[in-house]
Amino acid sequence: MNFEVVIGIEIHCELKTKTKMFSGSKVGFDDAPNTNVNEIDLGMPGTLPSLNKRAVEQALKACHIFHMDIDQVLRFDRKCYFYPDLTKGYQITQNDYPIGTNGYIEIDMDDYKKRIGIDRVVIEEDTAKLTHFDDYTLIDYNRCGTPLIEIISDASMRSAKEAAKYVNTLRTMLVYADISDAKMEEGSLRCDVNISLRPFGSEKYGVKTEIKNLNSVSNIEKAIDFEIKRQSKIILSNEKMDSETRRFDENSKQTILMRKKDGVIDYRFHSEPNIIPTLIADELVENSKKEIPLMPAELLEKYINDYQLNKVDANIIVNDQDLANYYNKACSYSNNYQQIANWLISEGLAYLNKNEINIKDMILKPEALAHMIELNIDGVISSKQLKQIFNIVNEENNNDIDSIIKKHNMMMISDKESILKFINQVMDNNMQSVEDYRNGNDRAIKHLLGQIMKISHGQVNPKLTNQLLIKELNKK
Amino acid sequence: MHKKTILELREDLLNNKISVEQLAIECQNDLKQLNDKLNAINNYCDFQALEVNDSLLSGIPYVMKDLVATKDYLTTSSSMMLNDFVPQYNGTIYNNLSNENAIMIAKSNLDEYGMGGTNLNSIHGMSCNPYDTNKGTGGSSGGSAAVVAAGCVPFALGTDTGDSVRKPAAYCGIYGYKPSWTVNSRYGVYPYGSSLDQPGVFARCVDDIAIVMEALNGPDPLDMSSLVHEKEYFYKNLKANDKPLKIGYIKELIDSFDNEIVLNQFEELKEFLSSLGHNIIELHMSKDLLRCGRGVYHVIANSEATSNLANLTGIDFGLQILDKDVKQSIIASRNKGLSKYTKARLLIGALSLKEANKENYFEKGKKIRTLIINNFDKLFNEVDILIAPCANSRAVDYKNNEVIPMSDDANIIAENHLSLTNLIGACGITIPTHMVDGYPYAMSFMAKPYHDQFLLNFAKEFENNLLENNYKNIISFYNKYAEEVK
Amino acid sequence: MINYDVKVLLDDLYLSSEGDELEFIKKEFENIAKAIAHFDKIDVTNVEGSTWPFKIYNNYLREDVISHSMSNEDTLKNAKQVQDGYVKYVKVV
Repeated sequence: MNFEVVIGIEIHCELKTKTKMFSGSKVGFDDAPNTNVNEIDLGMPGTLPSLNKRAVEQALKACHIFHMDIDQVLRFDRKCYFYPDLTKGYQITQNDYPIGTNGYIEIDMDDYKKRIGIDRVVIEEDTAKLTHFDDYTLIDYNRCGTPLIEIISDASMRSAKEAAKYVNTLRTMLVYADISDAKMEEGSLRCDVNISLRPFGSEKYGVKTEIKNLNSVSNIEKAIDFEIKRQSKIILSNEKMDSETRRFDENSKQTILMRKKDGVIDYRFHSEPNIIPTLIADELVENSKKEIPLMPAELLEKYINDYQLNKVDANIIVNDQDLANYYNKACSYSNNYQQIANWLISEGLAYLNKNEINIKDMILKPEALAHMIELNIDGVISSKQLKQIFNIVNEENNNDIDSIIKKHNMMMISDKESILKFINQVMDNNMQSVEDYRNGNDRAIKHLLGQIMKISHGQVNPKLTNQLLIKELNKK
Repeated sequence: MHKKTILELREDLLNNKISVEQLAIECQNDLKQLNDKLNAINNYCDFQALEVNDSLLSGIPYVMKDLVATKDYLTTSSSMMLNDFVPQYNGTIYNNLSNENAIMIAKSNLDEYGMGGTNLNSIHGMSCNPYDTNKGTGGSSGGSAAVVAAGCVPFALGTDTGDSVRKPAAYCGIYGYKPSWTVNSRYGVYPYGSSLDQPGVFARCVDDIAIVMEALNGPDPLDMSSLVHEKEYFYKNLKANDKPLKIGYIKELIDSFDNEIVLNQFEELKEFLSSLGHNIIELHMSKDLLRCGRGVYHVIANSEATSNLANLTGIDFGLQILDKDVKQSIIASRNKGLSKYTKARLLIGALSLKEANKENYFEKGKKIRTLIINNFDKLFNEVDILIAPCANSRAVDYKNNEVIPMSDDANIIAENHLSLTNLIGACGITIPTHMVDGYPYAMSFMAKPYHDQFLLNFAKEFENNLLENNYKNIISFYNKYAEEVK
Repeated sequence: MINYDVKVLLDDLYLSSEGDELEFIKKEFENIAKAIAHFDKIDVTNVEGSTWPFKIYNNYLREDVISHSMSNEDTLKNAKQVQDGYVKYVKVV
C-alpha cells in the first residue's frame, strides 16, 4: 500500500555580509578560533544588539526573489533555551513578525512544473561552533551572531525528487542573487526536513518526523527514501508512530533517532525589548530589488525563448552562474547565441575541465569569443582555424583576434576565382563522383567537398564552396 | 574639605587648593574609613589623576554602581556569579564620564542585577543608611545612595528599573534622578527589565544632577533605543522655572498611604507649592488599576529578566561549577551564583512566560501596562507635574528585624507607585523635604516622557525657594549630608 | 487562579533549590505572585499590549563595516577553562 508523502523543509542560510547580525565583529570562517568575536557575540552582561544594514538588505533580496510580502517594520523576539552554543541563553529571531511571508518558488520537474510555497523568511543569528571529544567539548565563538535567514516552506512537496529539486533551485537562486554562498558541505546552507505519511485522499496530517544533519542534496533524497520505507512499515504494522527528531547517517544511509518529541518545547518567546520597531525605508526595499540580477528561471526562459537554445544546453549554462555570466557578456556583443553556446559547452568546457581552470580565469574574453564566432559564421575563418586561434590566444595571452588572423595568415579563401580553381581541379580528378552526382546521387558531393578541403588545407569558405560546386556540377 | 558640590570642588581644583590626586585619595579614604559602618563599597578603583580642563566634571571623583561594565575593573553586581568578572569592554555612560575626565574611585554595593528594593540581595550584605546604620538604604542602588548621603563624593551613579535610584535617595535624604527611557545609553549596564531600566544620578543639589546628566546622556549607536533621542544640555539649559504650573496628585494613590507623618508632610508640600504660585489639582485613577501596578511591574521586569540573566551559565565567563553533564553543570553554577532573592524573582518571570499562563500573566500584564500608559497620558494633559510622597515610611531597621506595619493598599500601591514612572517611561526626581527624629523623608516629582529639562528646571525652582528659608517643616537639603555616621 | 509548581519553574530556568532556601523562595515568590491576582479585576478587551513605554520607531541601521572586535586573549580572559584558543566545557551531547 502506498502512502502520500508530505514534506516540508526548513532551511537556515548564512548571509554574505562583512559583520555579524547584531554586532560589528567580522564574519570569517577560516580564521583562528575565537578571533572574530566581541563581547556582544559572547553575550556578556550589559551588551546590546545593533542591527546590520547589509544583512537586512540581503534578507530583503531573499524576500524579493521568493515573491514575498515584506513587513517593513522590523520586530524581533527572544527564543529562550540553554545550550553551550547559545551565549545569551536566547536567540534573537522573528517569531511574531517575520520580514517576509506568503512567498513561493517554482520547481521544474522536467515533465511538470510545481509551485512550492514559502511561508516565512525570518532574520536571525547563528550560534557558536561546538567540537566534541571523548569527554569534553571545545567552543569556537567566531560563528556566533553570523547573520542568518530561516526559510520555511509549506508542506506541499510530495517526493524525495521534489524535495531535492526544491533545495537545488533555492540554493542556485540564493547564489545568483549573491545572498549567500549556500554551500551545504560548508554549513552556509542547512536543511531540516519534516516528513510524514498519510493515506491518499486523507486531509489530516500524519505524525511528523524531523530529519537533521543533512549535508548534501543527495543525502536529502536518501534520507527521505529511507524514511518513507521506515514510516510505511510502522503504519502498516499498526504500531504507534512517535514524533521524532532523527539524524541522517551517511555510512548506513539510514536515519537514526536523536530524541523523541514528547510535547512542544516552551521557548518562552517574548519581544526583544532592546530593538525597538525599526522602519525599513522604501528606498532600501527598492534598492535591494535593483541589486538582483536575472534569476535562473528568468535566464532559462530567455535562453530558450529569445535565444532559441535547447533546454539541455540552457540548463547547463544556467546552473553555473560563472558560465552564465560569461555567456551573457559574450551575447551582449553578438546575436549568434546558439553558436556561442555551442562553442562554450563543447570546446570551452572541455578546455576548462582539462586544465582545471574556472571560466572567470579563462584567457579568452567574452568579447573576443563573440568576435571569433562571428568571423566564423561570416566565412572569414574556418572551424579548424577557430580551434587554432583559440590555442594561440592561450599561448600568447592575446585577445586581439584580428591581429592573430593577420599575423598567421588565417583568413579563409572566399574569392570565387581561387575557389573555382580548386573545384575544377577536384572535379577533373574525381570524374566518377561527378558522374554519380549527375546521376542523382546527392551524397557524392560530400566526397568532392572533402577533396576540395584537403587540397586547400581547409582554408576555403565551406558555404561558398558548396554553392559554387553545385553550380559547376549542374552546368554540364 | 571634600563634602562639597561639583562646582565648589572644581573651584578648589582650579585654584590649586587641592590637586586632583589629593582630592580623589581623600574621597577614597573617606569611603574606606566609613565602609565598616556603611558597607557601601564592593571594590576600590585604582585611578589616574586626570587633568582639570573645560569640563565641569574634570578631576571630580565619583562612585559607580557595581553593575556598569568598566574595562579592567571588577564589575561583580554584588553577585557570586560575577564575583571575579572583569569586563573587557566599557559601559557607554562610563566612557562618557571618562571623556569628561571624571574620576571613578569605587564600585558600590547593590541588590544583585538590580533585583530588589532593600539592598539585602547582596552577597556582601546590605548597605547601611548614614543617618542610622541599623537602617537600610533601600535599593537596588543602595551603596551609591549611602556614599553620597555620607558626603564622601559629590555624585554617584545608579540604575532605576522600578525605583532603584529614587527610593534609596529618599531613604538617604539626597536627590535621586531617573531620566525618561532612552535618554541615557544602557550599553554595558547589566540589565534587569530592559524596557524599564535607566541609569540615574545621586547628588546633593540640582546643579550637580544636571551637570552629570548632561555628560551622561546622548544617542549611542551601541544602544539602538537611545538613538531616538538627541543629546540634551541639561546644565547649560538649566534655568529655574518661573511660571505658574499645574501640579497634580492622584487622590487614590495618596489615599493608599497610611503613615500620618508622611501624609502630613504631603499636605505641607501642597501648601508650599501653592505658595510658589502653582495650581494644585486633584486627579483620579482607578484604584483597581493602581493595585495592578506592582503585579504589572513584576511580571514585565522579571519576564525580561529571565532572558537577560540567561547568559549567566558559567560557560564562557562567571562562576563555573562542573557536574556530570551540561545541564547539571549549568544548574550547579547558577545555583551557587544567583541568590535566593534573584531566583524568586526569576520564577515570577518563568511563571508569566510559561505557555499555559502567558496569555493571563505576561500578555495581560502588557495590556494593563497600556492602560496605565493611556491613563497617565490623560493626566499629563491636565497637569505638568505629578507629585506624591516617595515612600510610606522612613528607612527600615533591618538589623533589628523591624517590620513596619502597613495596610494592604499601602503595601501594594503606596510602596510601589514609583515603578509606574518606569512603566510609562517618564522622568522622575526624588527631592528630600523633611527630617523627623533624625531620619530624612522625600517627595517624588514626575514629568511626562522627554520633559527632563522641564523637570530639572522645576527642581531648581523648588530648591532655590528653600535656600533662604524653610517652609514650615520643609527644609532645604542643598548639599546636605549626614554629619555623623552613626 | 495562579497555577504553578515551583520545582518545575526552577527547572525551566536551569535553577534548583532545596531546604530553607526553597522555603524562602516559595514565600517570596508567593508574595509577589499575589500581586498578579489583581489582574482579574481589569478588563483588557481590545487593548493592545505594550512592550515599550511609548510609541517610538528606529530608523538607524548599522553600516556593515568591521568596527568592534576583541583580541583572542580578551575573549578568553574570563573563561574558566581554555584549550588551544577554544573555550573548553563539559562534553555536550
